Amino acid sequence: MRGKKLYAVLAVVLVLLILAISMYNYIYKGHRDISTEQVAFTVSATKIHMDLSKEDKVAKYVDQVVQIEGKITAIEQNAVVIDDKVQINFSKEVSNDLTIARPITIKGRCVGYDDLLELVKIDQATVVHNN
Amino acid sequence: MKNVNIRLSLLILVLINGAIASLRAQEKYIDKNGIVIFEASEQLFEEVKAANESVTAILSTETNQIASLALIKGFHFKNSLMEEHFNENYIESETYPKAKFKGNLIDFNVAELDENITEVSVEGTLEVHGRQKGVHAKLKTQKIRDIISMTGEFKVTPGDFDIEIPKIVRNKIAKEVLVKLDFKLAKK
Repeated sequence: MRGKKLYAVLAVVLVLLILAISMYNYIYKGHRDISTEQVAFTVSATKIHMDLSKEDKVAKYVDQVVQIEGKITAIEQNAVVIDDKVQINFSKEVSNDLTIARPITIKGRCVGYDDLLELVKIDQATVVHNN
Repeated sequence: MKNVNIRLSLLILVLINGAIASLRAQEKYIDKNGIVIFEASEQLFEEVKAANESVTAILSTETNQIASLALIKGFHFKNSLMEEHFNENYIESETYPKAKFKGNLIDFNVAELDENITEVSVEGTLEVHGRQKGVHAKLKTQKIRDIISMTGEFKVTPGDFDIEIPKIVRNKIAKEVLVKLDFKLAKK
């Protein structure tokens, strides 16, 4: 009899513990890791710029992981612009040497279209190829 | 012959003048990676704070107009669930993906700027969640070589933009939202 009671108490404690852990995980779940997520779209800088400048195609790319290639046209602090059309902000300092006019392929999260500068913005990016 | 020469040089003069005028008219300072942070934390509760580090700002030193654009999805919170709720329930970033500001710098003259910090007033309209609100702020401004640095802050409320805060979290989110900005505008 006492043994059964003990088991029942243990079971309740276990269930509560699991509930608590899953609650905690839900509330404090980690951020997305874009660099390990699968690429949803592989496009050229020109193509994504053309698509995103049309309002109706915005939803397709926003918040998605995209892989983009093009030539570096500007280098800023921890960011580059490719083909004068897409601004890439890297998730961490880029150790690779980046050079203007060189082709580059990056993977990152599409943030949206900036109609002030007419630039597509990508953040949390990592370099895929740099040559 | 002499006549032609004079005419030609006149023409060149006019052309050069025109070129200089159009160059002046296009005098712009741009920041592609401006920082905007907003905070609505209440004491004793988890901080409600997000930062966007790729905000666009354009200043025309000819007209003293300033425009800024922040993509809502570019705001990052420490807590990813908070970020999700902010996007989905409060600011509805799929419907309203941008926050925009358009305004004028008051009594501003770029030629008077130097490395000493001066306060510049800005007045304009902020559009968030599809609603507009007049905003007034003082910006600490300085110019170091070809870069104009502007920092400042102002307060808004969620109600200004018809953003409803549900009852269950109302005491965890401050009534006033403090918005801080930090722009480093480079000459283009």
